[in-house]
Amino acid sequence: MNGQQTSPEIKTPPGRGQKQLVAVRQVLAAMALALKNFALYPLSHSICLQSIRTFDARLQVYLQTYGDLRLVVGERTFSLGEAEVHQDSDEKDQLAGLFYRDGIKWLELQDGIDLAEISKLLVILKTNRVQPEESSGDIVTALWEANLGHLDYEAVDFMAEEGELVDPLKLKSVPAEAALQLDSGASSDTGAGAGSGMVDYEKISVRLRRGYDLELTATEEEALKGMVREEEAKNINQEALEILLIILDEQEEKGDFRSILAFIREEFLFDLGAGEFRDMCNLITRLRQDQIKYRQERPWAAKLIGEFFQEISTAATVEILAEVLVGYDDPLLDEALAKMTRLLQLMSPAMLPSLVPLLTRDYSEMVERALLLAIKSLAERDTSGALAKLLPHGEALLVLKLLPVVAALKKEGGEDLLDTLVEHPDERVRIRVLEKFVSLGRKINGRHYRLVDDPNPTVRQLALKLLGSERSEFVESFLLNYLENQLYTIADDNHLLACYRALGGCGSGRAIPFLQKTLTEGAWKGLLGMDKAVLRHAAAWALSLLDNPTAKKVLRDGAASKFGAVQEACHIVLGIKP
Amino acid sequence: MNSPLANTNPETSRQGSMLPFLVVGSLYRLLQAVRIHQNNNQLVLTGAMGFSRDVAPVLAEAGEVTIQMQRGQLFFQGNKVISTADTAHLIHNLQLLFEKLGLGGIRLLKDAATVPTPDLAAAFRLFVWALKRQDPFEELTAKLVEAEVFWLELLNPSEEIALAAQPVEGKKDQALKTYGVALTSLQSIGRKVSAKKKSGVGKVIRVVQKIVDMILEDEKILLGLSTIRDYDDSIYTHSINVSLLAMTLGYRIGLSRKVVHRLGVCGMFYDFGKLSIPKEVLHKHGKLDPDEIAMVHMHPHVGVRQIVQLNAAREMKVYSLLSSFEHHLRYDRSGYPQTGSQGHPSMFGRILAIADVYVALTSYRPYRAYTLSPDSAIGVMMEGVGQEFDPGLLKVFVNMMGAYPIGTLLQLDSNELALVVDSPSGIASDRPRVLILQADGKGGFSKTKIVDLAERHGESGDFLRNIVSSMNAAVYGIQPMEFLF
Repeated sequence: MNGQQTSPEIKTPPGRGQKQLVAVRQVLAAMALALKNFALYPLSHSICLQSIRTFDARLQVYLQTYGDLRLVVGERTFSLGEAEVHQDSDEKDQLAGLFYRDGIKWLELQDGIDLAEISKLLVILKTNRVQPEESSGDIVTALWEANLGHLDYEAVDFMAEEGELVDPLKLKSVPAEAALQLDSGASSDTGAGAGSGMVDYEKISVRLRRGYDLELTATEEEALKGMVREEEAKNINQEALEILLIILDEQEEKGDFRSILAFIREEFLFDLGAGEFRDMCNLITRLRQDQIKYRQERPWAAKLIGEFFQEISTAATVEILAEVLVGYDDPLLDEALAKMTRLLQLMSPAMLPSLVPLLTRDYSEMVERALLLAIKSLAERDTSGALAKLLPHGEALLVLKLLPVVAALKKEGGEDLLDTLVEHPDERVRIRVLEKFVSLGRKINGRHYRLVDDPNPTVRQLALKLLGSERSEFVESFLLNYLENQLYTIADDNHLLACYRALGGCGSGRAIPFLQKTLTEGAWKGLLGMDKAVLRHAAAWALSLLDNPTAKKVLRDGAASKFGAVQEACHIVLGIKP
Repeated sequence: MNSPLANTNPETSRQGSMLPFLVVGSLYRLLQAVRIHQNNNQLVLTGAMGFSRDVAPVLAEAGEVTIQMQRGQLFFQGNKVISTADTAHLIHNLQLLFEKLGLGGIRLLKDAATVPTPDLAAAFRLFVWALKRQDPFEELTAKLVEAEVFWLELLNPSEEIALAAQPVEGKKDQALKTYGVALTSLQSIGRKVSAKKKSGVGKVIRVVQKIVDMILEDEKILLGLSTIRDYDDSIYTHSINVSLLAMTLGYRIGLSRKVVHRLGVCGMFYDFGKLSIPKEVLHKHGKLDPDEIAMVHMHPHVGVRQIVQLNAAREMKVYSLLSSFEHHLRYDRSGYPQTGSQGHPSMFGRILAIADVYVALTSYRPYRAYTLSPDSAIGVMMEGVGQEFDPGLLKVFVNMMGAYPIGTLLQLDSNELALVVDSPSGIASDRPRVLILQADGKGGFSKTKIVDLAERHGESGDFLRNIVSSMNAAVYGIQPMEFLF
């Protein structure tokens, strides 16, 4: 294959007719579409997979019917023999043009080509769609490397384009003054001068022939085979990174330092994509140490490393990580995930805005746990308030997952953030935050007192529970005002009952007049069956909760009231049986 | 005989180059099976069927199949088959078997394609039978005639191998042009690197791909190319030569085509750090002062930086920088640079170190009082086995180069000067084929004839020519490649 020396010899097969041309056009249309989709979507995307299957199906039908498909490449066309069978629609959607650009004269898709080979071909075309200036490869080099068994092609001989070349035979192997003279039949020159080509033949060559066993031993043979196997599968990034760190440390010029650091970043991203988290932990740790060291001796280098950390903390980096984590659901990968967590913990908190949304993706629980640990650690170091910017309006699912992290944050920001989240638009979040408040024994902030009017009954209940959890003049004033002036929007009995209980929990003697009034006012209405018993009961409960002698007296007086409604309410809270 | 198969559509891929091993492998398995089992044994029948199947397409295309052994080398359809770590064992065993039978080879004729499997097995059983005879070759020949096996010919060891016609001149020109392109490209990159400008490496990548294809096709021509020396601008030719030898060694040990390519690219750039050393230091006669030594010792470091700054694919840079950094580290981890790391250097580093030392020892260096002949260089290198060099790799290298590597200049006892043009595999065989040179009277030489130093006098049985001494052609201003092929 890759017959770069053979000539195309395009012949029109006998009997090639309209049907064949239609078939080949269909194949090429499918190929063009597949390539277009490959450029737009990830390879694993269903659209890509579908289009490659269509291309494969059409190609297989063609190959079965007409045999190998050899296409002559034009500037923007493919031809089958004399017939043009494809024209690139425009610059952006090149197909034939890509092959032409890289000097491919013809290509042949051969019977036996399979889906894997087709995919590789499309990947090569995708990778080489845009060719950077002076790039290190093109479609021809990529096809050579891929060595596809059922694809043949001929490329323009790149050496033919070369201008004047050095003639290797005209090179001087020694400087003229050092060259020795040699005539046929000349006697051996045994001198050991600078240019001597003679050595002690007897001593070295003969000893060599007799003294060494050059047969590979079984162990050596095995070792060689093992070495070859290892080399074929090896990832040498760790070694390369070790070396790069040594070389980086030696650089005194900013430009050189920067270029090596840029390559380290490239390596970092590659390793990340390969899931080599352990190597990267070492790298980041070393760079952090170097950064500290350089602060004194080479401040510009410390700054560049700082920039490096910012650069590797972008959304693009997180996206690479996101791809890697898709398949992580095996407990055997626990250790790898622990390394990933460690790595992320070493990164810049600038990564948080892109890292946090990963929690909304469909990852395994183990991945989610690892991400949460990393996020917590980064958030502890974050001074930019990334979570505070993200969460108040973040997706409920995301915020719910992060609540334990936020609640566990040691720094002040954590408490503030939790306070903010009680106002989250999603009631599920508000409920969970308030539950967190309850379990943590935290107070509710004054600006959130209005939660007592929240549309969700659970939120209202929890808010009132929190408000009534300890004596507070502020809360008492708020609730007194709320109840006295009937500021509530929800006049639900349960709600009002909860409000009075909260007032009882937080209030003082200051609430007694209002509560006494509520307990006793209009008691005569009971005689007419018009009494609002709920409020009377609520006030009685509140009075009992005040745990105040005056309040108790009010209750005792009430228990002796001539009005049954007042009496009943007080009997209940005082535990007096009728 | 020119093999039709050999001349049609030369298969250069790794799979294609495995065809001879496929056929020879199934032949060997069949011979092993009939040696142990009866004709009706399943293993024998499977073996015969396998051989029949593997040989059929070759017979269909070429009309006959010729397998020959000469001087430890396997020839399939007239083409020398390069031995690799994977296949050396097979070739060796077949060689032993052929030697015991006094056989130079076999030729299967077209009718072999239609021979029933049991008959095929029965015919090859005769080979086993012949192993115990007084004169195996003669008796086997007679037995095959008696058994009416007319589809198989036995070849005498003295029978000249009909080498498949090779457009040698074309190949040589192509090889030299490839070398020229590699050199021009490296020089251009080197200039840019020295000027701290970005440089692409696309052309070098393509050239190395071409060289890999050449190895698969004809290893010898590459070994010939690696004899080119350039005093003026030695870094580039040195790198190309090291790259050529490293790739050939890589192929020998069984590296895939892709990895051989990667190794070749590393070879092209591994010594770029030397560009940072002033020529006065590189070409200084006598000892270097401590500052100069420090400068030299830094070149692997500088090389890494230069490689990083190339406009090249990440993977290429990673492998190249590792090779650059490690190429002066010895197998036992002595040498430089020292980093405190444990273990042997990488495989690429070890291969390049072997090729680097060999090319350096056989190249003129102003600071050194000697320039070794190729065979002497190998002798010196063997002294460093296990410490300086990986033992296994060095053995394969020495076997690849032969006792007298291609391009070695020899003084013969016939008072003739000769260049080694083909070195039999292994060091034990010290009688290469050589090209006799004749002084042209103008200070140069011209080609005369190729002779085999293993040739003996018809009556006395003495060798016709013997080696008196070996020399390095380069120090006489000779570029062996001018005369080779």
